[in-house]
Amino acid sequence: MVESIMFSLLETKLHRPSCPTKQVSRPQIIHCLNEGLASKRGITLISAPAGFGKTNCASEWVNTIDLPVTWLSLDPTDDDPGRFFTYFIAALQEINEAVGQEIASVLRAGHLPPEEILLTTLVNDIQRLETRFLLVLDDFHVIQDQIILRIMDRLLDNFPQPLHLVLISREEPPLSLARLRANDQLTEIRAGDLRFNESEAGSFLNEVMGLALSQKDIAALEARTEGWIVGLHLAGLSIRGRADPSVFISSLSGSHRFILTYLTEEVLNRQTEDIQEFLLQTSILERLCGDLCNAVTGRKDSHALLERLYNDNLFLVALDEEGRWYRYHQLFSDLLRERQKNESVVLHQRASHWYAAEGMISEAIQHALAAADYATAIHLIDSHAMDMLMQWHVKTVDGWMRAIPPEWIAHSPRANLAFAWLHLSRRNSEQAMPYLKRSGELFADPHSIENDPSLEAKWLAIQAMLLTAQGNADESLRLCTRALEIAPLEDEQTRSMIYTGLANIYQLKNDYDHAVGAFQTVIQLGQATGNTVSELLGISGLALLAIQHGQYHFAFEFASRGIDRIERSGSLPAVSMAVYGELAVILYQWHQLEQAHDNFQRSIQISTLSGYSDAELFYAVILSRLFQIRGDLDAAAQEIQKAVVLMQVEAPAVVREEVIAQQIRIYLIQGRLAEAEGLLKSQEGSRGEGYSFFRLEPGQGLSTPIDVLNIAALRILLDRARVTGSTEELKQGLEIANHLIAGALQYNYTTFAMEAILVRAQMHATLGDDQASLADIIQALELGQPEGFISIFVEEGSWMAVVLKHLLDQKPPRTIRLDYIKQILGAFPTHRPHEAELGSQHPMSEPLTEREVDVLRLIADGMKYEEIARKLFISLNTVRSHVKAIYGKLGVDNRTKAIEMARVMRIL
Amino acid sequence: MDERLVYQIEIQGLVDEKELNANSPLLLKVVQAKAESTLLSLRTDQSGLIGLLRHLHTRGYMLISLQIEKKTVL
Repeated sequence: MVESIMFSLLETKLHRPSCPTKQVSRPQIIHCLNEGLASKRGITLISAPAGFGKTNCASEWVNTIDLPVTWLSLDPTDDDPGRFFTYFIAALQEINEAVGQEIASVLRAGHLPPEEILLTTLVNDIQRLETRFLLVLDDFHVIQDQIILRIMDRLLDNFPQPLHLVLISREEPPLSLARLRANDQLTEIRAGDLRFNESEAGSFLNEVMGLALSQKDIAALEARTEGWIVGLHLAGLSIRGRADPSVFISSLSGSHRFILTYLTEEVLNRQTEDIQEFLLQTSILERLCGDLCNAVTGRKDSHALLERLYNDNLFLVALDEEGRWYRYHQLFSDLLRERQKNESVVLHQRASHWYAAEGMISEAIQHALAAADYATAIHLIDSHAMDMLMQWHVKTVDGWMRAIPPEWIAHSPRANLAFAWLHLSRRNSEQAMPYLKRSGELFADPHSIENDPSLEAKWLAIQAMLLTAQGNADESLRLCTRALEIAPLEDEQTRSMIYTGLANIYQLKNDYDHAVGAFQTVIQLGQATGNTVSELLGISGLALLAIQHGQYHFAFEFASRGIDRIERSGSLPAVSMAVYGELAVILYQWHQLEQAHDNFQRSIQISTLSGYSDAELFYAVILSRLFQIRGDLDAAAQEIQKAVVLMQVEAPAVVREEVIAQQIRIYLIQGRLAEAEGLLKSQEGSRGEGYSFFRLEPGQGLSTPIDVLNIAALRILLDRARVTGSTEELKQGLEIANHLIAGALQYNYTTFAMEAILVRAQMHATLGDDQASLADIIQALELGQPEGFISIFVEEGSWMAVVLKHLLDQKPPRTIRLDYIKQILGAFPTHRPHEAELGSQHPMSEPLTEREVDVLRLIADGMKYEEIARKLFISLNTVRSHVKAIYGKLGVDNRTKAIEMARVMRIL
Repeated sequence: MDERLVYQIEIQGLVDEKELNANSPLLLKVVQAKAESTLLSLRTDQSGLIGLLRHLHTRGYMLISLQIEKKTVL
C-alpha cells in the first residue's frame, strides 16, 4: 500500500497534464513553438505570471507533435539537488531507461555526484540517444538552488543534440539565456502571447464554459481582465446560472488582484456550504486524493466530490490518468488558504498523520511543522532524517530543522540528538558536540520529557564513536557495553550502530575475533532491518579486517556476498566502492590481474560518481604494483605519480602511507636512491629529523593501521647497503625488521608480516647469510600458502624468481607444496629484465649526460635526427655526436639496440 | 502582442557590461557607469524583470533604483 501510494505520487510528477476536453485552440502560439522546434533551437521558454494558461498551452502543443515527450512538474520541495536530479533523471528515463542509470543508483544510495560527473554523464547519455525528444520542466520558477541552477546552466553550454528543453516558469529563469537569445537558440512565449484576445475570450466563455454572452459582455470582460485567463475563468464561473450577466459584468472594476479576490468569493459563495467547507479545508493540501481528503475533512465521499469538482471545472487539475491525484490551481488555492489559515492547525495535523501512516515522511513533517506540532515533527525527523540525508536531501532536512523553535530544541534530547547526527553525518564533530552535551544533560534530568532508552543508547554509541576516533578504546568500550544493556532488543537500528562502534573498538585493541563477531552482528542486523547500507558497511569492514589479517578466502566470501547484495539492491551506496576495491585486492594477491583490474575500475567508477577520491587514490597504488609486477616500470611510475597528485587534494593517512611506500619502491627500482630517501624524510613531520622507525616496547602490540613506511625504510637501508657496500646500517635494520615481524605475527597481520619477511630475506642475502635468507623465504611461503598469496612474491622482482627456482631445484621442505612454488614462478613476467642480466650485458662505464638522455628519448619516440635538432635547438652535427656518444656508452651499434638497452638499464 | 517595456535599473558601484551579462538571463546595456553607481537598461516584460532582479540579487549586486524609461508602442 505504502509503496503503491508513494509510487503513484511520483507518477503524478511525471504525468503530462491532459488537455481539457474543451479548450480554446491557440494556433498562432502552436505555430511559433513548432517553428522553434523545426529550426533546431534547443530551448523553449514559456514565461508568464500565474493564470496565463502556460501549462495548458504547452500541453496542447506537445500533444500535436510527433516526438517523444517527457514531462516533470516541479514543486517547491524539489528545490533540493538530490531530489531535483532524482526526478530529472526519472523523467529522462521515461524516454530511455539507460539515461542517467548510474547517477540514479548513486542518488538512491544517498550521494549527489560531483557536478562535473553528473553533467558529463547526463550529457553523454542523452547524446547517445538516436531520437530527438522534448523534456518539459513545468513551474521551473520554484528552482532557486544554486547547485541545480549551475548544473542546468552548464547543460545549456553543453547542450546535447537530441534534447529539446521546454522551461515553463512564472519568471525569467536565472540561466544564461541572453546568450541563447542572441544566437537565436531560444523560442519564447510570454504573457503578451498568452493573453486571450477578444475572439479567444469569446470562444472560452461561450464554447468552453458553455455561457451565452453577448459580444458586448465579452468585450467588457476581456477589457476588465486584460485577457488574463484565470480572471476570465473565475468570471465565467461567477456568471454561470445568473439571469442577467451584463449587470454582474458591469459591476466588475478595479485591479487584477481585486477582481481575482472578488471573483473567488463569488465562485465560493455560489457553491453549497458543504462544498465550500470542503474546498476551504482541503486547500491546505499541495495534492489531493480521496483518502487524504477523507482523513483531513472527516468525510467519506471525498473521491466522488473531487471528481465532481473536476468535472465542474472548479480549478482542479488532474495529476494522473486514473483520476486519483489532483491539485488546485495555484492562485485558487492561495486565495482559499488566505481564508482558511486561522483554522488550519487541526487540518495540518490530520494530514501529517495520514502521510506518516502512508510512509510519506517528507510530507508528514511539512504538515506537522505547518501545524506547529513540533513534538510530532521532531519525532518524525529523528526517525527518518538519516534516511533523508542518505538520499542527499540535505537542504530539505536543514529546512525542517530551522523551522523548529530553539526553545523546543533546548528541551528535547531527541531533537538535540538529531542535530548532532546531522552534523556528524557531515563529519563536523565540533558542531555536534554542544548538541551531544545538551542531550546528556537532558538524559540526566529525571523530569525530562523523553526518557527513551533507545535514544540514550544511541547517544552513548555516538559518544563511544568519538572516543574511538581519539584512540580511547577502553572508555569507548565501557560506553558501548552500557549502550547495549539499555538498547531495547527490538531496536535493531540502534543495536547495529552500537555493534559498528564495538567492531572499531576491537580493531583498535587488536582483538581480531571479537571485531569479526561484531561486524557479523552488524551484517545480521542490517539484513534483519533491510538496511543495505548498514549490511554493506559490516561486510566491507569485515572483508578489510580479514585482508589485513591475511584471511583472503574469508574476505573473498564476504566481499562476493557484498557485491551480490549491491547488484540485487539496485543502488550504489558509496561503501560499494570499498567492497569492489577489497575484492580487487584479493584477486590481485591471487594474481588474477584482469579480474582485479575490472573490479578496481568498478570501484573507481563508483568513487568518482560519489565524489570521493579515496578509491581512485588507492587504485593508483595497486595499479602501479600491477604494472610493476608485469615489468612495465614506466606505467608503474606514471600510476603512482597520479596518486601523488591526487593525494595533494585530500587523502586519509592510511592511503597516504601506501602511496609514499609504493613511490619509494618505484624510485628504488629506478635506481633513484637519493629521491627515495628524500621522500621518506619528508614524511617525518611528527617524528623529528630523519626517519625514525616505529618501535614496539616489550608487550606492546602494533596499532592499526600498520605503518607501511617502516617497510619502505627497510627497503632504503637495503638499497643503500647494496650501493655503498656498507653493511653496518643493514645489521641494525635487521633488528628492526625482526621486531616488526614479531609484532605483526603476534596479531596475525599476515600480509604486512610477509612483506617484511621477504625484505628481511634480501637483507640476509646482502649480508651474505644465504641460509637465513632461505629460511625467511620458506617462512613467507608457509604463511602465504594456505591463502594462496602470489603477487606479494612477484612484487619482489627477479631476485625472488631466481631464489624460488633454486628452492624448487633443491627440493623445498614438505610443508610447502611444489605446485604452489610453480604457481608463483609462473606469475613472473617472462620478458622482465633480470638485474643479473643487466650486469652481464653492459655495465655502463660512464653515465649518459642529461642532453644525451633527451636525445635518446626523442630517438625512442621515433624522431629523425633533423627533427631532434629542431626540437632541441641544436645543429644536426651535434645530434650526431650525441648519438655516437650514446652508442659508445651503451655498447651498441644501432638505434634499435640503443633503445632496447636503455630500457633494460631503465634509462628510458 | 509585445508587452515589453524599457526599464532602467541602477545598481551600486561600477560594473563592467561584459561581466554583468555573463550568465545573465537577459541582455543588459550599461547606459551610464560611474564609480558610485551604474545605470543599466533592458527591455523585457514583468516575468523577465522579476527573474532578472532575482538574478542580480543572487549575484550580489545592490539595487538602488528601478524605473520605466518609456512604454513600448504596442
